[in-house]
Amino acid sequence: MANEPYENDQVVNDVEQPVSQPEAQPQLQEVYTTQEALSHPQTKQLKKLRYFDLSTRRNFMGYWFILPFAIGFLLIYLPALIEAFRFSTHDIITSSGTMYTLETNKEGLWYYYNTALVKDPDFIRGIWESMASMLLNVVIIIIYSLLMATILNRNIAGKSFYRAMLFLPVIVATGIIATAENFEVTTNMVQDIEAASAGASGSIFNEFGIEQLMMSLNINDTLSGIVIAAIGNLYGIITCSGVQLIIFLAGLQSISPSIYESATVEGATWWESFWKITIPMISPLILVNTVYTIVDSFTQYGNQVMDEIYKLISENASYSDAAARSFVYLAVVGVLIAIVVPVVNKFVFYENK
Amino acid sequence: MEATEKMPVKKQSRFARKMRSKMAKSGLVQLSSNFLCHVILIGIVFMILFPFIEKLCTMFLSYEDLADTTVQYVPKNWSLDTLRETMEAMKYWTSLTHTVLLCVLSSVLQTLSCTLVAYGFARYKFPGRGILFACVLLVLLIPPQVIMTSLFMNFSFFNFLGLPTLIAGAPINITKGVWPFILMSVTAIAFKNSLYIYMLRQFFRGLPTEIEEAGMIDGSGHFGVFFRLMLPNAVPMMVTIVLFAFSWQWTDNYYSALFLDGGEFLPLSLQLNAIKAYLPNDTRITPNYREALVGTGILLVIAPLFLLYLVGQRFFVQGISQSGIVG
Repeated sequence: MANEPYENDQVVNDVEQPVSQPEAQPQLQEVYTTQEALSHPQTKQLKKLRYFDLSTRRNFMGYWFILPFAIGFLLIYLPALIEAFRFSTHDIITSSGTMYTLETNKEGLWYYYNTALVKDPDFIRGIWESMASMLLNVVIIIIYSLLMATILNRNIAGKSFYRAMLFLPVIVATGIIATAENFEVTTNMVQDIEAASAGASGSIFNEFGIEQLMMSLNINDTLSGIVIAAIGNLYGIITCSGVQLIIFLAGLQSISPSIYESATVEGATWWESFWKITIPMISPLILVNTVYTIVDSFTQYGNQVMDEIYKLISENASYSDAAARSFVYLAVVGVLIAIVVPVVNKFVFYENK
Repeated sequence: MEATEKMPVKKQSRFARKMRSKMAKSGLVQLSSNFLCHVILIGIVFMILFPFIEKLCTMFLSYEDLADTTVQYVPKNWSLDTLRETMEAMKYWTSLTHTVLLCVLSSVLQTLSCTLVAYGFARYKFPGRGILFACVLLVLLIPPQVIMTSLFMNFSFFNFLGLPTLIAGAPINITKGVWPFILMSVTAIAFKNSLYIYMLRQFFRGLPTEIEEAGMIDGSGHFGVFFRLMLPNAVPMMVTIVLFAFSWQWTDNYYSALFLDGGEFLPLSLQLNAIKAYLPNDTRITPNYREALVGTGILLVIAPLFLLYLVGQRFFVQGISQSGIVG
């Protein structure tokens, strides 16, 4: 190092070492001609190093900060994902307890995909059904949480209490309750039906009553079906929309009141300023909430396809089938998000654009 | 923080006053619309709380009351038998200790690693940042069930960089213990960690760069700036993340069942299943009684979390709204 003819290499090396020196360095000569020095590999290395200005070298520090995630992703998550994909195209031969080897299926590499897509009538139907109910739920959840956020944004007494209560399901109502209650329902079906019918005769405001009402008003079947499904699923909707509600509420509070004030001065009614000010200002959050709701509803416990996959693993121990199905499902979700996001994005109003 | 929060409220109330004076004659409209809001909100709060209230009522019913069809919610004979029996079935205090240990450990580790990673993503424009952040989002989007089996196999035959083979001579089985949780927490790929990274990244992006520059001029290194200047600023946000990680780990059934089932270290969420296994030994078994036991079990799992929520409620709600997902 000491006999190198470049005076400022010391300085450069002192600051940062983002690029390692070449491992095999050529033998250093005592004296260089200019031409030789310029074409020396180490000069090129140094030149390259000097091109990284201070901010670039500073940015290399970022790698140290994200190192935990990089290790976790590259050494634990990604191998597991690849292994899962290999499961889906191979037979798993278990031998000696928990040891296993993978063998190519005799009926072809895509055998399990074939089973899932062609031979299993339930799977494709399940995907369509969960997608349909998901799209319906997304619309209802967005409307519901926007409505609730608007109400909570008013100056009503006990606002913070209501806010805390509406967010409660996000914390406490998760997988374990669903699992345990699921157990209750299956063992106790008869009593549930009894209780339901007892409740139905007692109140006017129930699904059946509304169905009757809608039939007598001659509202068409599709619309009444949607309304009835929404009412039947009301508890599910309420428990699913805690996060969305808080996001909307924060968005509403960030809209400057002076916009409303000037609109009122110009003679806008509350209704007009809601559609002309609130909705455009909050539309980026509608996009955020839509994506969040889609992902949430696809991964949550109780999703039809997820349950089927879980059942394949826990009851039939057919890991290859389950892996193939979950990859198909993943692709469907990916495609759906890729379609929905640009569509919703068209209606989003960006202030700074 | 408080000043900025109060300001819009004040302005809004002035605006509301203006509106009210404008429609002074329609004060009745205002009153009735407020009333309507309260009716809707109370109805929804009731729907949310009802399952818990119902279970709480069932908990105090005696065995005779459970068989009695005329008793619906209010017990005729108060008794704590159900509670006692459920606690016995769940080995409540032991598994509560396990759960607290597991949750504290993993939530603290997750928060530290996620903060570090989020800061790196927020403040440094290193090459490949886009791709790596896309990986963070990928982890968020892929349902954990997809990699369930292979992850289990991975930890059953754990061979990280070949080190276990080097030391012990063979891959080791680290399931049925807390090691998988520690590893996944430290490397920020545990349950919902991508969401925490996203929230914290947005938060760090909102902090002024001047803090950092001032620290650098005064001679701190990159990590010095991070630990001494950035972390103190991020404490409220980190408390939020700790609380979220803690409560989602508490109610997590998926990873616990995967890594801890069949072992000695059983948290509460797994002991709920033990109630079902406990049932056949009981001679007085009826469907009603079984339901009461499971219901009480759920209540017992949720109760500590509920208390935590009442104390830290402010952080849960504010954390999401201030994380900058919005702006």
